[in-house]
Order: sequence, then structure tokens, then C-alpha cells
Amino acid sequence: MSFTTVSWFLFLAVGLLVYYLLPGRCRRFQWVVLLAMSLFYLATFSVKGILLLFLTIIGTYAGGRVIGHMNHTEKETVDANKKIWTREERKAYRARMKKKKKNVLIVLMLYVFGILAVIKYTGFVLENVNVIRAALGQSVLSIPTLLLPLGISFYTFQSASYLIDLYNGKIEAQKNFGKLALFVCFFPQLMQGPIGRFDRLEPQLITERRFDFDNFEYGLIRIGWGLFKKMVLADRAGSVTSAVFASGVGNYHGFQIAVGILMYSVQLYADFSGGIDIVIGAAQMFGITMDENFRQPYFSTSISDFWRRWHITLGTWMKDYIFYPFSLSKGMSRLGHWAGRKLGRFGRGLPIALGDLLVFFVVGIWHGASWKYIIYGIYNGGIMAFSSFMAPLYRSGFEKLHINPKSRGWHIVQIIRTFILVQISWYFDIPNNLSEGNLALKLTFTSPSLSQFTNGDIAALGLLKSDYLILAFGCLVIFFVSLYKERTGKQVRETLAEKPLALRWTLYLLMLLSILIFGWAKQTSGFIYANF
Amino acid sequence: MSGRKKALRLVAFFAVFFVLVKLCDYVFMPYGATEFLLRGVGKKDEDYNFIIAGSSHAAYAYDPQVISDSLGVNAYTLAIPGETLNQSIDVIKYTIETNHVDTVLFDVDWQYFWNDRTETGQLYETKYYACTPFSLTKCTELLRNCNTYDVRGAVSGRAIYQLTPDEIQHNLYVKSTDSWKDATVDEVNTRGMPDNYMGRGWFSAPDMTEEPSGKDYVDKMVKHSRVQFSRKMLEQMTEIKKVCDAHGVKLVCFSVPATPYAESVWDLNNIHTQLASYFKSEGIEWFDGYFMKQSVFPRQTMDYRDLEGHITGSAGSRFTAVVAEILKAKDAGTYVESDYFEAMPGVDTQ
Repeated sequence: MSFTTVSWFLFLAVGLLVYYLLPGRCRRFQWVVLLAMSLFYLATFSVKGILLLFLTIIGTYAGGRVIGHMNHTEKETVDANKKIWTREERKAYRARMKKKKKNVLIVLMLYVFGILAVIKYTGFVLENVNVIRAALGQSVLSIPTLLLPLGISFYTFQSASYLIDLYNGKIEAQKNFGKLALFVCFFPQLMQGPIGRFDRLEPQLITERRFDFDNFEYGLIRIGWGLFKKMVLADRAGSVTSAVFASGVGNYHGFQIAVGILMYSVQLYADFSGGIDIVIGAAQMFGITMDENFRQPYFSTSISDFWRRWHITLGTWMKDYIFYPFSLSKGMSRLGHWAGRKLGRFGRGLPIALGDLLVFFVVGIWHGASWKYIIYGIYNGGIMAFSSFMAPLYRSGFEKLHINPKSRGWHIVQIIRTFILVQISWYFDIPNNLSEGNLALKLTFTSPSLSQFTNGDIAALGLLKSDYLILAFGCLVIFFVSLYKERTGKQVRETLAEKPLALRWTLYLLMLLSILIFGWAKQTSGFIYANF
Repeated sequence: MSGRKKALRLVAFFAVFFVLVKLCDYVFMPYGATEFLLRGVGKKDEDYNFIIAGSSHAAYAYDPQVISDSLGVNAYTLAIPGETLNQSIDVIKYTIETNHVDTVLFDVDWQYFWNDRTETGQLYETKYYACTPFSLTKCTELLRNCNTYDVRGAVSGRAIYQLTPDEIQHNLYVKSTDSWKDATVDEVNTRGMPDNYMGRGWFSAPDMTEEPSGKDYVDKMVKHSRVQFSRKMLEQMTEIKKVCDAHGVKLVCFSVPATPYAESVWDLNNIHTQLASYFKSEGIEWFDGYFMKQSVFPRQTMDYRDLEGHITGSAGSRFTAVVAEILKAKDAGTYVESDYFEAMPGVDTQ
């Protein structure tokens, strides 16, 4: 049930009716409606997927109860002995409890991520083992075909964040199994995120609500905007990327591949952010405000800035649960001091650089069981690590060259530089495998020719001139909307809400009609991030 | 603003939206033969009680005027090139929904039975999107395929929008004619059916002036004529019977005679044996035109526009007259040989 099908909209409409038509006292069971919808939604993809989801939910629930109980015991014991224990005794007790909780957490993390690892990465590991075995002249192992349930990467990370937040004492354990299950598998976010946090999402999921027109209207507009991005831009740009990368890049020349990569940057952004718009819009119709996942990413001034604006919820997850615990750990602190003594100010950046590398190695693996994704992650992490090391040098360079890093000109240079770096990263993302990516990168720089723009090579990539015009127009619309948000920090809808009704309606109708008139293809394709 | 006012505002917004969608459909949706046929049969001031369905062989072969005159019925043909059995189910459903149908004459072209045919072509584009926007048939079809159909198709005919200035200009010209308003097609761009429109949904192919082509295609089909038919296709045929039975409509099946060349190379005995067995087991009346006596319906290669078996208009009218006689006589024996060797004496099957 993709977000563009008739079934999705029927499902949403029926769900909204049931959710809001629950009378009086029954309204406290509104969350059950959401849970039922979530399970039904998952079942439309795979019933077996529900069983695997429940493995994660059961482990998360049970583990959460254990950690919650330990938190509770710790607090009660400390409170009960407040007057008896000395400060050192209290500290020692807390340290003992923390160690116990940590052991429990480690077991739970192994369980939750173990399910993901077995299902998603067994094939990848065995493939690489087979390469080694083949090189050693041994027989290859058979690779089992395992069911990859919808959204497993998303709900696994969401479950893990719940357990870690519990461990850190940020939240209380959810005692109701159903409510926890709803948090883990809330249907709009199941396919492609955003990765929700328990403290912000769960209270919204279980709150009783009455129908609110503003929420409904906002949800509709947001869904319309998402469909516009997906159907007018993403699918159209996607036809070029398919033409260039689906059957191997060897038949294409430099500029064709570069155009393919450029189109992929349009496709991926429009597809992923469009899908997230639909998710956020659908949730808003139920009165639930989801975390934003994008903030004008192509206006980023550095790769680290890019990752604060692109797939924000994954970035913050990595920052909160991997980067900080790792780079602020005692070991890293000692390493930082040691490196600082040996290498001066460059050395002090070592823990941060290593943290960046680790985080983006995980980001790469999260994207998929393939070497190309690992290199994609290391490429991003490497640039960030390099930037951390070089930061002191940059500062002194600016001073010597009299460059004002806060000037508008430098800001634009940074945006263009980052955009190019991001484009290069797509060479490790869209091609079928790592060697194809390397070949694409090589061909881009070794076989470009301006004649490819005039001899029909670019036109041969599957789009008509009119399609390129529509793409350009759509990109301009997104550019100006993004520019407005970037400059004012306001959502366009907030500004539109202050405008006359006739103007608002005209814009909304233009958006919807342009989907019909300029939407690509008879049937839209699936969403890219649904595969993760 | 109160909740009621907001609700009214939302309803008004969608009312305006749907009016604009209809306007877009009018401006951008082309108007060709398939749209015409579906629109023609849905006209409220006509009530057709005899419907012809099937694919391109049927589209050219059956003259509904001859059927109407001979049998005293009001016939219309909805046979459309590329119409699969699955599509025929919906075409028949839609016709029954909009008319008081007594009889469905379904043409059985064996080429639609040897594999699981996928739906493509104009009918696929127009059936759900264009001509029957609020029909029960379209709604049930949308529900049945709601997991794959794009939501855009549910509200508009955008799947076949044409957007170039020339296309829009021509489209608007066509839709400004009386022919379009009356669904009498005369001046209409009959996209996909460039033949003479004779009325009642029938596009008659002109007589041939030179030898028909298509030998390669006929030869390519030889191996398929020797295989076991697709179970799925036979199930779809059964579904057609069920739809007719459910509405008290009589289903009669015919097959249009193939060209002498096709009859000489295709394994028609295999085809006949399988189809005869199937139709007998389902209790469906079927007249195998492949075995039609030469004395009853004399045909030669020049009666066809290609060697595969698309018949010309004049031969189609003659053939339809025979079909009408068979339907009146209710005895195929006089008209059809019992097997291929009687139908085509002296022709080498290999």
C-alpha cells in the first residue's frame, strides 16, 4: 500500500472516520484504532513481517519493563536511605545499579539489533565469506533468502532509542504493551520514517482527540505537497537515473553520467522528502505532529551541516546514541588528551573525528547491506573527520587571506562546495554496486564532452525537452519555497494562512492540478526509502 | 471560524477542485475510438439489448446493423482491438449497468488463450479513467485494484492526457463538434481505429486492393497454436459467463474464420478440441468459425486486411449475416464442419 495508491487514501479516510467517530468514553481507545491501522497496514505488505515486528516489540517491552523496574528500585532505595547513606555510599550504589542496567541494556541492544542484523545483513556477510572461501578454493555457502519486513531499520532504531532513553532515565517505561507496540509501529512512519522519539511521539499517540479542521487542512496540504514532489519531480527525474544506472553505466559518457547524478539528487530529495511530507501530513490529520526530517538540505554549508538538514531524525539518533556516548567516553577523553599533547590542537579533534567516522560507518550500513553504502558512509564521515582536523588550519587561513567566513559570498561558495561534495557521494549510492560507482566516477571525469549536450546524448536519457522544462519549473518552485523557509525560518503555510482565502485556494488548486497535468507516468513508482 | 463554516469551506474547495478536474479532462483528454465506444454504449437515450464483445478480430467482423436487422434487436459492438478477456468482463459489466442487455455475443479469438495476457493498449488507458467516471463498474474495478492503481486516476482521466498545443487544439476542436456531443463519431478523430465508422460502434475496414501482409506473424503463432491453453484465461472466460448469468443475459460465443493461410498452418484441431471441451464443460454455446463451411461463408485471402484474420468490412457484413442465420436456426451443423479437414479440404496442415 504505497502512499500514492487508491488503497492508501481509502485506508486513511476509513481510519480517520473510525478514529474521530468513536463516541464519548470510547475515545480513550483511539490509540487502539491507530494500532489496528498500523498492524493492518503492515499486513498488507506481509503478514510474516508482523511476526518479526512482534519479536522486536516483545523484546523492547520486556527489556523496558526490566530497566524501568531497576530505575524505580534505584530511586526508591536512594530515597529510603537518603538520611542513612553518606554521599559516597549513594554514589557507589548508583554506580552498581548503572553497571547492572548497562549489562541489561547491552543484552537488549544485542537482541534488538541482532534481529535486524540477521535479517538484513546475513546475505551480505555470507556473500563476503563466499568471496574469501572461493579465493581459498573452498566450496561456497548457500545464501538463505530472508524476508525483509517493511520499515525494519526504522522501527529497530526507534525501539533502541526507547531503551537507551529509559536507561538514561529520560523517560518512564511504558507498562501497556499495546501502547508501546503503537509507538514502535505507528503506520505513517513505518515505511520511511521519520524515526520518532518516545518522549515526543508516544504522549501524542495516546492522547484523546476531537476532530480539528486546522490539523486536517494542514495534513491535506502537506500530503498534496508531498505528492507534487513525488509525482512531478521524483518520478520524472527517476526516469533519467534509471536510464543511466539501472543497466550499468558503461554505455554512457561523462556528462550523461553527471546529468544522471544530478537527476538522482533531485529524485532522491523529492522522493524522500515528498514521502515524509505525506507521512507528516497523514499523522497531522490524526492530530499527531511528527518530527521534521528535512530542513533545506541543499542550502548546507558543509557536510556536517548537510547531515543536520537531511534525514534529520537519523542524524540526531546517531548523534545522541552513538556520537556523544562514543566521543565523550572516558577512553576517547584520554585519547584526546594524549593526542593533544602529541599533536597539539590537531590532536584534540581526534575523538570527534573518530566519532564522525564511526557514526557514518553505521549510517552507511544502515542504508543497506552493500559495500557501496559502507563507502558512502565512510566518504561522508571522512570529510567530516578531515574538517574536524583541519578546522584550526581553516581559521588561521581565513585570517591570513582576509576572508570573512561570515560574508554572503563565502556562504554561497560553501553551499556550492557542499552541493558538489554531496553529488560525489551519490556515486556510491545510486549505482548497482561499488565497482559501478567507481566506473561512473571515472567516466565522469575522463569522458566528458560538451558535444554531448548538442548531439542528442542527453536527450537520449529518456526525457523530452518539455520534461526538462517541467523539472526545471518544479525545482524552481521547491527552490523558492526552501529559500523562503531558509531566510524567514517560517513555514510557507504559516505565511499563506495570513493571506486572503482566494490566493490560498488558487495556490493549493494549482498544486493539485499540476500533479494531474504534469505528473509523470500513468502509475507512479514506489518510494526509494521504503527499501531501507 | 466555527467548525461548520470550516467544513463548508472544505467541501467548497473540493467542489471547485473537481470542477477544475473535469475541465482538465475536457481540455487534455483525447477523444478516440475506445472512448467513443464506451461513451456511445453509455448514452442515456439509447438502450442496446444485444452486445458484441471481443478483440480486434471481432471489432472488424461483426456488423451490428446486420444483427439488428436480422434478429430484430438493437445491437452495438464493443469489440476493441487488444481487448483482453479480463477487460471484456468490465466492458460487459458496464454495458449491462447502462443498458437492458438480453444477449452478449462474445468473439473467441484463440490467440488470447495460449498465455496469460496482460492488459495494455487504449482500452487499458481509458476503461477506468476516461469514460465511466462514476459508474459502478469503474468503482468496483478501482476497489479491486486499489493497491496498485494510482490515486490520480481515481479522480481524472489524466492517464491519457495530451499536452502539446497541437493536441490540445485538435482535442478542443473535436469536442466542439456535434458529433462528439451526440457520440456519432463522424467527424471525430478515431484514434486507434482509422477505418470507416458505420454506426453502432462498428468500424468497417475497407476492401483490399493488394495482397494482405503479416505472414511472419502468422508463422510466429504456429507454435502457440499447439500448446495447452492458459488456465487463467479460461477462468476469465468463465467469469464472463458468470457475469452474464448473474444478470440473466444470454452468452453466445463465436470465432471469426481465419485466413486460408492461417488455417493451413495453425493447429486448429488442437485449438478446437481444447475450446470445444472447455465450452461444453461450462455449458456455453460456441460456434467455431474456424471450421465454417466454404459453401456457407466463401472466403479468400483478399477478404482479410492481413493474413492473421482481421476481416474487411464487406466480408464482415457477409459473415455477420451467417452469424445471424446461425443464431436464428440454433443449429450450427448446417454451417460448420465437424473438423478442420472437412472445412479446408486439400489444405496441408503442416
